[in-house]
Amino acid sequence: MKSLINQIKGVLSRIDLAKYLMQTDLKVRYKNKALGFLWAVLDPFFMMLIYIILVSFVFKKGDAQYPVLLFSALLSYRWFVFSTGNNVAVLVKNSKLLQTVKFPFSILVMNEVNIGLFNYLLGLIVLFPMLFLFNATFSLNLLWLPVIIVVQYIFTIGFGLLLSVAGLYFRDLQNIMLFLMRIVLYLSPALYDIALIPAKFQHIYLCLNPFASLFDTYKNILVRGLPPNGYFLVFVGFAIVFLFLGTYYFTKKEHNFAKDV
Amino acid sequence: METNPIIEAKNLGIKYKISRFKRSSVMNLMKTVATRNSLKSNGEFWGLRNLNFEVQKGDILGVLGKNGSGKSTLLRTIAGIYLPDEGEMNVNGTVSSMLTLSSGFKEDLTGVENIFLIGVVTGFTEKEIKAKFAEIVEFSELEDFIYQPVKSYSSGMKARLGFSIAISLKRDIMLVDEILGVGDFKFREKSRKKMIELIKSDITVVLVSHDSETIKEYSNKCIWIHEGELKAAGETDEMMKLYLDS
Repeated sequence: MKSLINQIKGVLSRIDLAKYLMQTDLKVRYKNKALGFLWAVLDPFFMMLIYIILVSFVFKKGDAQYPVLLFSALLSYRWFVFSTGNNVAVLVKNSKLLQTVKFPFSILVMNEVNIGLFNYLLGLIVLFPMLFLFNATFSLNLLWLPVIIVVQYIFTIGFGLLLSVAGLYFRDLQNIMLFLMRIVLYLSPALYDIALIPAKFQHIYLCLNPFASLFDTYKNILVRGLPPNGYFLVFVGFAIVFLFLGTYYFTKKEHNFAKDV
Repeated sequence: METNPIIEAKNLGIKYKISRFKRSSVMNLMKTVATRNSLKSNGEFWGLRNLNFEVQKGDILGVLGKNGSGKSTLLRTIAGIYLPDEGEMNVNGTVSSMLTLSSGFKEDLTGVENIFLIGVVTGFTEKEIKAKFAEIVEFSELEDFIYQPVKSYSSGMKARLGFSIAISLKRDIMLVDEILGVGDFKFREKSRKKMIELIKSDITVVLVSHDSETIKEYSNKCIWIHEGELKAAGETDEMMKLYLDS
């Protein structure tokens, strides 16, 4: 708890830094490209297109709303993969910075999550017209969206803090994570519907896999007009545990980063 | 006239671990298991040890020593990047470091963007940087190039920008690592004058260089570090004699 408060204080004291890190990262990422920021929107669009062609035309599966169901879960997955994939290497990548200036290093982890969130929000711009196009059910349950986003933000930060330290001391983790995150996608109901899981396993599946309830919740509130169900608390639980573990572990090791990179 | 020192090292020791697992990987792990090496047999190495010295406010402290003697480790400890593994390091003031300079630039960003980025990274607020912005640009003599990406700069231009940022955005204590004498002759003269101005102000500077001429020119006090330990400390003139005779 103490380490969490200290980390938050540290980040807040350097909010200008957080802002500039994000600005410059985004500039570098998109500046020299002809289509610029449009790529942040086109990228998820193409990714979705590939899956839709694969499932709807090649496998001839999926119902009429499949594209938007897929997209609403895939956007969230993309955010997680982007931030986590970068965070596993974030301390190594910034080794020079760590060795020259003292600042709350958790800002670096947060930055990767912020950029992922930024891309996610741009993705929503593509998603919303599509929701109309595919006759999604609009309801007041859409108001849950900011709440879900905040919880995913906390989850990704906590996990990122944990992983950034682990990735510093065990470099192979970068490669391992590539596979693990792929497996997460196939084990979670993003490409398929949760009803595909046999009824008797559904309870345990939703309890053990935080992404199961996360993706299902996104589909529910965005497309089906349903509120989050009780299983979302599983994801909230994971988020809180990761946040505490992450800040504790990160704070404990933070002093050694400069020496160990 | 005895006042509290602004920097004070008491029996300071900084330890590095020479770990087999520093760059650990599955291959290393398997190798270790295969050769039956103990996982615990990590070496230790003291980057600095038993270091005692004081710096008074306004002093310009030169740090002499060969490459690898622990000079950069010392600067990092003053900057708070390393915590002492032994003894104490007391710093009673805010620290800005000139360590970053040209290595801290993002090539794709313009000079202007880099000024702000480096500024916030080294702990200044947007407001403080804005207040110093004109001064930085003017001193760097980059003129319209300041709006161009840094990757289009010559190395001299980068160095000039780096120096201008560091000299304008400063705190109570300034750490300088091998950066003097950048740019062409004219700029060197200008930066020399600026340094002398700085020395006359009440700012405290810790200056690291393996070029003894630089230290001789700027600093009034010196410490000499050899293999992580303090070999001698004193006024610059006498230290110079000792250092050059060795």
